[in-house]
This record gives sequence, C-alpha cells and structure tokens, in this order.
Amino acid sequence: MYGLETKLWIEKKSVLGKELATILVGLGALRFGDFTLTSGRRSPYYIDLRLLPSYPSALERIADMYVAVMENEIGVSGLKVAGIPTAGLPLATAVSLRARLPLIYVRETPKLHGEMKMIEGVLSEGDEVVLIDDLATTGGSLLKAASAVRASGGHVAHAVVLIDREEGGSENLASAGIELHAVSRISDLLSWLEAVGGIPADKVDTIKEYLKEVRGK
Amino acid sequence: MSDRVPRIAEILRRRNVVKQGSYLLHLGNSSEFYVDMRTLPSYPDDFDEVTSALADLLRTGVGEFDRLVGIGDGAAPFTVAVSLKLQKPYAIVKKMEAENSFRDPLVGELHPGERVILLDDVASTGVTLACAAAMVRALGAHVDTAVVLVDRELGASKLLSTMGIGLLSVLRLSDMLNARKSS
Repeated sequence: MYGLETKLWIEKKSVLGKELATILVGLGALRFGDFTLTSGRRSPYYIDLRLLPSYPSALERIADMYVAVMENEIGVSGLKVAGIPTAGLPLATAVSLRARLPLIYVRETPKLHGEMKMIEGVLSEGDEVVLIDDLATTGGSLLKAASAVRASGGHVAHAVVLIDREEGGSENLASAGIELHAVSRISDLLSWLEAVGGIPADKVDTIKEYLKEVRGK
Repeated sequence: MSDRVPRIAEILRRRNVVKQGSYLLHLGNSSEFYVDMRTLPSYPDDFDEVTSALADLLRTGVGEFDRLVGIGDGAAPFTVAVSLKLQKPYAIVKKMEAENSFRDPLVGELHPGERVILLDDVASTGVTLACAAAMVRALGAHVDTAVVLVDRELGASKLLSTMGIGLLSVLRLSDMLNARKSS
C-alpha cells in the first residue's frame, strides 16, 4: 500500500488536474470537433495553449503545477530544466523562475554558423536535466530533445508535461529510460470535465471511443 | 537606474557574456566583441536580478503599454520573466534568420491597435529589431519603443529612430567595458 505522503499527493494532484481543466476552459484552450494532429492522426479534441502568453497569472499558476509535480515525483534539488521550443520554452522559463532552477533549452534548428550546437545555456557532463514541454502525444519531440541533451553530456531520466495525451508517449519515453510525468492525464481531465457537463453531449461518445483506441495501442 | 548599471555589468562580466574575438554582424560589419546572453538563464539568481532591472526600466521608462514582444527563442526567457514580473501579456516573434521557417511567425496573440514594447537581450546594428518592428506593424500593432538589456551602440538607436522607435537599454556595452577597466 501507499504511504500517507503518496496518498496525499495523489489527492493533491487530482485537485491540480481539476484546476488545470478550469484554467484551460477559461482560456478556450480545450476544443472539441475534428482535428488533424501534426502526426496526421485525427483527434476529436485539441489543446491549444496559444492564448497562455496573454495571461501571465495563468502561466504562473501552471508553472507552479509543474513545480509541484517535480517536487513530489522527482525531487528538484540539483536539477536543470530544459525547455523545448516553441511551447515548452516559456513554460520551462516560468518553472525555472518559480523553483530557482537553472534553465537550458534545446534549439529548434542548429546554428548554421559556428559549431552545430543544439543546446543553449550551461550544460556540463553529468548534469541532471528534466525536460519540460506542454503536451506529450507519442513523445517524439521529447525523445528528440533528450537525444540532444544526452549528446551534450546531460543525464535525462524525467520529462514533465502539463497533459499526457496517452498516445504512447509514456511507453516510448520509458523505453529510452525516461519517466513521463504529467500534471494530468487527458483521460482524467476529460472524465472530470464530462462529469461537470463541460463536454458537449454529442461529443462525449466519440471522445471516449478515441481515448479507448489510443490508450489500447 | 545609475546604481544598477555597475551591479548588472558585474553580473554580465562574471557570467562571461562578452567574448573577445572577431565576429561577423549583420550588414557585413564585424566586431571584436560578441555578446552572448544565452547562458544567463542558467544562473537563476543572476537571471532574476537582470530581468528585474529590465522590468524596472519598463515600469519607469515607457508609459502604459499592452504587450511585450520578445524577439526569437533567445529573447523568450527574458520576455517571459519580465511578463511575469509585470503581469503583462507577451508574444514572441520569430527572428529573421535563414534557418527559421516563417510558417508561424508569432507565438501568442497580437491585437491590432495594441501598443507593444519590443524586447531583446542585445541590440547591435538594429536590423533584427527593425525587422521585428516591421512584422509587428504589419500585424496592426503600434511600436514606438524597444527595450534591451545591452545596447552595443553599433547603430541600432539610429536605425530604429528612422522608424520612429526609441531604444532604451539597461546598459551600454561601453558601460561594461569601462567598468571592466576600472575594476
């Protein structure tokens, strides 16, 4: 059985998940319909955090959620945070400021001139680095970032996202030795939202089917 | 303001952001100094102090505005830090560089009619700031002020003034070099 501390964290985390859902609804960041993801897969829901930069208080609150996950599931002492552009970099910056942790980031494209540097910031051999991104779907961009950090000598064992879309990211990362942490899994977030009537009635079945299908893979 | 210059200069010097060598700039210019601020966010306390200085400059020097617009990933950490300190919205425009695609030139929102302040870590020739200003104006926002941490005094102020944009900086490269000599 879990100890008290773990049980309390599980409770706290479910509260954070509900607060996150509330923030996302407030930002209009959760949309239901028919969307094509970057992978080409069609999805009945879409998370769009494009408005987050316009709401600093929401960004701050969300950064604190990342920090809570890191403190309770990883331990922040001695960590460096790595932002993954574009969406992960502002989040990682806010996390680094709230937790007073050094920030590094992965370049989107290597510098054309000079050395083909993929990492910006101070990274030394053996540094413990936690990757920060907004969402995990299949984990592709997190894996790419992990390779870049590892190629520069950093040690990567954890990645933290706001929402795990549960489309294989956790498994794909695990096979590269990286544990995926999320403030909320999409299934938890959506089932709570459904319970309070936050999902259009005609979309509920499609979304459930979709989640069942992607999680089963 | 004046008390802050030596303190910030000391941080930048300690963190080795000014490198000596021969460096190629925009417009075919070259310089014996290179200012690389990208390691600064790796030192949380120093980063906090430096971005607080930027926030103070914005609080006192630019009047009312609607949004900060940072230029490129390099400026993103600085922009986010200042946005949180001032509780002001921000957006990031992509930097005009050959390696960038411009499919999505803007991260975040920008509303027509907003007064935005451009934010970057360093101003050199001003070409990057001028391009960003043109992009922001094309999207319908007003720009009359750009704020940087370090002005290298390589023409940015003059170039931007031809666009009706004033350049404010926490310090000039000459302040840093003078501080270096005197210490």
